[in-house]
Amino acid sequence: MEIKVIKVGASVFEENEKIAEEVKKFLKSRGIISFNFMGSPGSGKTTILERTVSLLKENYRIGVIEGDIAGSYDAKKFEKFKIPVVQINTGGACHLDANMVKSGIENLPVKDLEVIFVENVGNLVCPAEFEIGTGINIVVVSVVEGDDKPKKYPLMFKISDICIVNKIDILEFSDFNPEKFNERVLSVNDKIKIFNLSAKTGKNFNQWIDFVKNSVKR
Amino acid sequence: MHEFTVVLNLLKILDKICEEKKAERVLNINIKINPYSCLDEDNLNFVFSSMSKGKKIYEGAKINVKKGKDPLMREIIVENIEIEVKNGN
Repeated sequence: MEIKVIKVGASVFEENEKIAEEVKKFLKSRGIISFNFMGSPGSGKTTILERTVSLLKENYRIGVIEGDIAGSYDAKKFEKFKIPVVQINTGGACHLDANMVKSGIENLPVKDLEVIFVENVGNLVCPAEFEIGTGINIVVVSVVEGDDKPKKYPLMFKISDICIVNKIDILEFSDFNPEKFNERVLSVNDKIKIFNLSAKTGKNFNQWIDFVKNSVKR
Repeated sequence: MHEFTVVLNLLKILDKICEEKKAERVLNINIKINPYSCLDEDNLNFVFSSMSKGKKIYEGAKINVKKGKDPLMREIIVENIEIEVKNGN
């Protein structure tokens, strides 16, 4: 027997990356702006999306892809807005992958859409490791989770373009220090844009809405 | 948390190379990951040994994880593998 070292240089998620690239190209060719909402369970991703959709649906053609391990509880919340919604169940997987998002998009009336919001599985770890082909990555953190999250889950903050700090209406009841948090986020990613808001009361929500409007080219 | 997905894809890559190179046994699998990745070497090895159980070629194989420098690299790269082949192959 002899021992050989074989150079490989292959990516374990090659297939995922290929599909993510396809998704990206497809959305770009149609001029669709897409957002990938990530964050812990309970951080308020769905509530932010609901308020966002309610404020934009009259003037923008929006589609939503809801990713959850099980159930269609979140997708049902969008029925009242009369916009196209697709629920993806990952069947136990801790993240959405590009193929799931691709099939989600295939089930949306894309020719009528300008904006697609994707809500990833609630989790600060795995979604960060999977490219899904969407344009803008968002991490949602609520003040009750604590201001140490950027230090504990740096990859999520590293790959995100936007950080939304939610539930600022209950800031006074938490130990969350916004200055410390911002400093920690920026130490991981100095290009990230931070929004502080409350999806429940609507406080500061317009700043976020303006950002979405500016992202959609017309 | 998604070690299963990683190992499943890794085995596909390894199966192909081992067939091509007529490997008798895989000794080391050297992979590179994002410096901030939460993938854990011990955990990966545990999942790997469970998922490759019964395949003699992977018995005792060890995954070695190296953290890359690029914080935006989202891939998991199989840099190289060390295999045992019959003399002359």
